[in-house]
Amino acid sequence: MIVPYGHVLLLAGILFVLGLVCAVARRNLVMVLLGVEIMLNAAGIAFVGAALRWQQLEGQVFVLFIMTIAAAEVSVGLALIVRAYRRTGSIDQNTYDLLKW
Amino acid sequence: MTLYALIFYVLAAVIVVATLVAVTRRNLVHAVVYLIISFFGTAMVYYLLGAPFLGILEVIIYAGAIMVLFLFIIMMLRVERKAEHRFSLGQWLPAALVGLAFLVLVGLLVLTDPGAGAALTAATVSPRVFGRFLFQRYWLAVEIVSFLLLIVLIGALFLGRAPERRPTGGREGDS
Amino acid sequence: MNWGLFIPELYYLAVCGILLLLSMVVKPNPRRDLVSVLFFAALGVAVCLASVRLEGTLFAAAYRVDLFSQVFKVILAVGFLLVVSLCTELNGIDEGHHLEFYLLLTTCTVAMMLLVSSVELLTIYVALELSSYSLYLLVPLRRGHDAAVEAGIKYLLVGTSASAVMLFGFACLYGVIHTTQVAEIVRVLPGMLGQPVATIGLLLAFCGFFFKLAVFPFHFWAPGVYQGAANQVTAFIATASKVAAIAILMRIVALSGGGDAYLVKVLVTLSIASMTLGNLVAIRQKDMKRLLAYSTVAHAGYVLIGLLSFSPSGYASTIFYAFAYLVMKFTCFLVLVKVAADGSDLQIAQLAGLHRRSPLLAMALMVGVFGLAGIPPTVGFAGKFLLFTAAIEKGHLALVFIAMINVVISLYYYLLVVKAAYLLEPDEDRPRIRLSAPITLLLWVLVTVIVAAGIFPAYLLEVADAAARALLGL
Repeated sequence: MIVPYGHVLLLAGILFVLGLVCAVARRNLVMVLLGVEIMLNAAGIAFVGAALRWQQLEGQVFVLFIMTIAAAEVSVGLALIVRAYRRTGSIDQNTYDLLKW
Repeated sequence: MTLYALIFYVLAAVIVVATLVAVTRRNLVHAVVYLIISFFGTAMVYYLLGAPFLGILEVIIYAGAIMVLFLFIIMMLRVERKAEHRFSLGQWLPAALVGLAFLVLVGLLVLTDPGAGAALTAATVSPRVFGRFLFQRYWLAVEIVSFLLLIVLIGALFLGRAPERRPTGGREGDS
Repeated sequence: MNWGLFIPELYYLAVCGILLLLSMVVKPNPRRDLVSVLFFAALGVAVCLASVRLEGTLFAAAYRVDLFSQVFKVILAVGFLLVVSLCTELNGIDEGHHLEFYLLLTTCTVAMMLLVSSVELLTIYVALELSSYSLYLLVPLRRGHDAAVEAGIKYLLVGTSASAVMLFGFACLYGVIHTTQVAEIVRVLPGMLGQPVATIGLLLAFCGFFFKLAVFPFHFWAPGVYQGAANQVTAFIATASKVAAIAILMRIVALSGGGDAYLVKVLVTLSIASMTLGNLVAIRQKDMKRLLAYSTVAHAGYVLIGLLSFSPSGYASTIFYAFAYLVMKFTCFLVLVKVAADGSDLQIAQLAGLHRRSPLLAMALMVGVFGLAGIPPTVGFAGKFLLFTAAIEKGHLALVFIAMINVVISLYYYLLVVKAAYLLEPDEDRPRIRLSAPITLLLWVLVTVIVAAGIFPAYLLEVADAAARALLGL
């Protein structure tokens, strides 16, 4: 046996919280996107651990799709950030205040 | 403590420390590089937990393509070193406190869960079996994702273009 | 595999393919583009209506076609047709990009149709992402407004965070229950909700759908995105996208079987918070789209009331309300698009003197807004009545009382809109608004539906009931 399933879930949980804090607390748009990447990666670890627990392949297939969609998200996100940067010259969230929350 | 368990704990420590350092960097390039280290660790964890194909894909796609794309864009944007001034305590403290609270909660819940003690017996899956399973059971999801990638390709192409001159009414504004 | 079950989706996928080809090959011509897409959309509604009675499963039990999903596909097809009919003068979008705009709208529609039929966590996730990404790409597509890109970034970042949270919930659920099939989870999860990981997984899994529906506390993207996007895009997000979110939330909520008191408490809290917050903040809005955004948040709260009743009548009332909401919200957006014909953001003050500029538009606005407020004899009143009855049957008296207070609060800002249209006088004389014959016909049809379905809701209610029973597999 490798480790109890709870330990893998704990690792995933720690990474998830780190990613969430990064996505919520950082003002730099690129760092927010990195935070989302960390969260998706954490979900991936949780899925692979669950797949090993039940000795099934569904969890691993899920991770494949998570990676694909993460790649898609990064391309769209960075394209948007580049476009916004070209107009305003900054990637700090505080300069984007045309729309109130 | 078996060898596998030892490897897992070492990798887990590397991943968590690398991610923690990445999250707190002010220099974006440093953050991305630490995150690449973290993703390499994740790839090795996947290999350990019986998913060698996913481990390789993690290195190729996540660390190799996504993070490199980040680096390209960061260098293209020419952000000044001081872009994000020193982290104001008012901004960081609530987030860090809430994060810590979440962490404690997650730890308690996970470790008191009756299913948490389930043993993970070492097993591994060859890419051939994985591929067959993927296309037999999840063919619809594969098709949907390929459509998604097409749409995102068109969209990213359009959004990332240099600002067009005012269109002359012709087709030069098209993708 | 019976491909006949998949016909509506195949049709819309073919339309996407045609639009993709056209956008690469043909010179843009707004008139011709609009007419062809209108034709495709109308044909699509016919195709969906023809396939309402289909039943079966496809793709290794990942996809279920039943009355519930087919009814929602009809509603989505109608929503798509209605939004396309708004696009007669698409001033918000660059002239060369109309075909791409229609392509993204069609993609979102097909993705939502795939979503309402998915019964397996991975397919749900992937279909949800496809619909979200087409919307993330639609929002920045606005011409001449810098706020659109900012709105697009905010929408993307909040949306992907919510989706990542939902994924972690799915991972917890999969770790506890060894399958990703929704039917299996429905069988097994109610017994397992004593385990903390299972409950956390379920709550996190809700987050993605709460984001799409704009429930508190995942509502804060709505005002900015509604204001920043082009008017037609906002109309689509506000109507069709919400209907899809309601459908998938119903499938997922039916997962828990309704036995867990803690879950019901959470839903009650979120419902109260959404309603109250949405209604209170809407009072202060001067921009029409922002007002409609907060109204959407409040309506998400009402919809949750129907969901947390966990009974067939609760689900039926939610389905009925979803259709009613689509029609009423769309009427408001139709008036908005016609008054702000240059594609700009409409301020409430700009509605002044509307009863003189176009009596039909003013009346349609009044009927739509009264419907949203829930004034008899509109279909909005019938929908709210059904929702509240289903909740009272389950003993949620305090919740219904708070909801009724909220209805009164919402009446205030809806009446502000009507007052602007009828009683306020504009500073300078504004020209009459000429409406084309099809739009006039559409307005009359919408007004008739809102009032008639309010007085005679029996037929629609029967359909909703049958769909709810199909959802529960009865």
